[in-house]
Amino acid sequence: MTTARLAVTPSRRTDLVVISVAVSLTALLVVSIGLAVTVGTSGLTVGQVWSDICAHLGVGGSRLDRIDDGIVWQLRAPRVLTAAAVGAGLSLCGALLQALTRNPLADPYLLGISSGASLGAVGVLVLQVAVALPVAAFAGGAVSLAATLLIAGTATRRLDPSRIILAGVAVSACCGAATSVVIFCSSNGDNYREILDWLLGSVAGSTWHSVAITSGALAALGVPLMFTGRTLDAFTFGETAAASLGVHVARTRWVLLGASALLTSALVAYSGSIGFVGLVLPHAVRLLIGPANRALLPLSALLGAVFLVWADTVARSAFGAQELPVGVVTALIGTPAFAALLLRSKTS
Amino acid sequence: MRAALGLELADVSVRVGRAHAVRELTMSAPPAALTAVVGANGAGKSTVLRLLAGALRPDHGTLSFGGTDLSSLSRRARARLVALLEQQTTTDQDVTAAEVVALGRIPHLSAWSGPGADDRRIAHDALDRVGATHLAARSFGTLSGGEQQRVRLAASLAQEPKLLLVDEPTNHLDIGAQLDALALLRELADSGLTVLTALHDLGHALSHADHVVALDSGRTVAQGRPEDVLTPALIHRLYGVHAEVMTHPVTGVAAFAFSRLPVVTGQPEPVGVSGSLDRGRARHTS
Repeated sequence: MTTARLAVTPSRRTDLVVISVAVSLTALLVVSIGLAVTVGTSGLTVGQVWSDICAHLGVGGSRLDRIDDGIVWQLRAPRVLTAAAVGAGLSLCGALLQALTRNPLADPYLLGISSGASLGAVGVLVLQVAVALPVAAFAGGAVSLAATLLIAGTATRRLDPSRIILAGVAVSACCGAATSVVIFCSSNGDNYREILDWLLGSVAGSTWHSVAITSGALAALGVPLMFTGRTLDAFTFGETAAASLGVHVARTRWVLLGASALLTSALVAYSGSIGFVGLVLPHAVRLLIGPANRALLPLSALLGAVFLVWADTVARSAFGAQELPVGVVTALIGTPAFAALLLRSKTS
Repeated sequence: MRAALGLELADVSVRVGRAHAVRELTMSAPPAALTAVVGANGAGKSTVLRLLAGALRPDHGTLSFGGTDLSSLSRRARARLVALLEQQTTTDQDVTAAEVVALGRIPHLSAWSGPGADDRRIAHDALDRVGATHLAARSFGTLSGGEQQRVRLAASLAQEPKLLLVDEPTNHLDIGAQLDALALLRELADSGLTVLTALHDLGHALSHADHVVALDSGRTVAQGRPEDVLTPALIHRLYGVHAEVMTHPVTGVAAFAFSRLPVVTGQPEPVGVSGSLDRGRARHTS
């Protein structure tokens, strides 16, 4: 038996790699969050910040004065935690959609959810309808998802991966155009900063409420989705192969698409459309541990959290008091990676 | 040892889109034998395999294997009984051959547990059985067509099926790889597995199969021993070509010569000899 186990060395080796990557990423996330809350333009030291946080958590330390305490506990801490939850969720959904649609260029934005969510949010901002922003974003995301799936599935009565992508592109373009029209028709210039944050993505202005909703969505939807890795592996050679491995193809596809759309909408409602997180990070994880989804899903979530925490830290501190929408940072990093993926997929 | 089990399809109909892909089809495959399904393109060969693998649900009729109604089984239980090797499927994922074979263990694993020592051993044995152990660590995409097929066959064997379905095992393979693939299926049938394979090459069906089922427009038109089924009259009906059976003067092995026009004695005009049948050609009647 020992020889048989040794003979299949690739999987033995992978197990070890997966465990060490998981441990490193978890440590990295804890350190990243710990460091990110100390970075900022207010001139507070690491010791002061953590002393304040410890005081809030009831484990010693002493509070800063009211203004600095507000900066640390009401602005930075919820913002860093929201960034972590959003990054984790988007990256997880990207990994999942890539496996489900067998398309390496898939990500949560593929389904048109984010542009739909942005349209909902911008509409509420400009038209000043008495609806909460997240609710509007969620409704927009859900409607655009439904439109994507209807366009993709009505004629063929099933959800073909490439048709989903084409339909998603069409719906995104339509929502983007509608968003532009709404902005164009509004003469009130005060909303532009907020609209920009929605279109390019930002976790500025996150509160403990945002932390509760985004991490709650991650726990309720993201964690169960992490356990679908084996089912997704069955899709490696397509739908028929998955069916012959005992997978209920249609139900799996609908449930996973629906759940990842819900999760994405819940996150986009608090972050705006941050691009490239779901697209690029799962590929980085694949380079480390290979394509097996059982490990890929949770590790993508971890790396996504680390990535967005740092991207947001750069966004809020690189230009002094001037803030960059975090989506600009992720796009600056993500587009070269996206191009590299395209070039690489051509050669394989 | 479990007794080998036979396959029965009774009055099976299924629509794909608006047309019937298979209509009132009744056929059988004997246990622990190699059964070839033949017929022109669109006759329903792949549909039969997809029905048996659970990728399609019949609108009507029963599929039973060893007396068990396949529709009564859960998807996972069915996947532990029946494996499908599709023709020429591939993946964008950068997977190793060993990882491809491990996919075959999916019906045997729960969502929570990883593959255990037994699963690794079974996957290893499957790779060994198709003579591809040396390929284990290779990237699947870098393998030749014949090697890819052997690795995928190992994945199907890792499912530990009692019924193995194989769609066009010789398509796109060079002649050496074709004969290797058929010899492997022959060997599996001889070792007790029930093998059902769709074949285009009638020469291969004649030389390798124990049982032949001929389909035309989604219906069974003949089934039985290869030499009884594959008559010139039936071949003309299925493919609209004229066939002559020739027997090797020394070995006594039979082979076909095909032509579009009837062969007039003294002026033979063969289009191809067994193994080089013009595959893509549509039937006269279509």
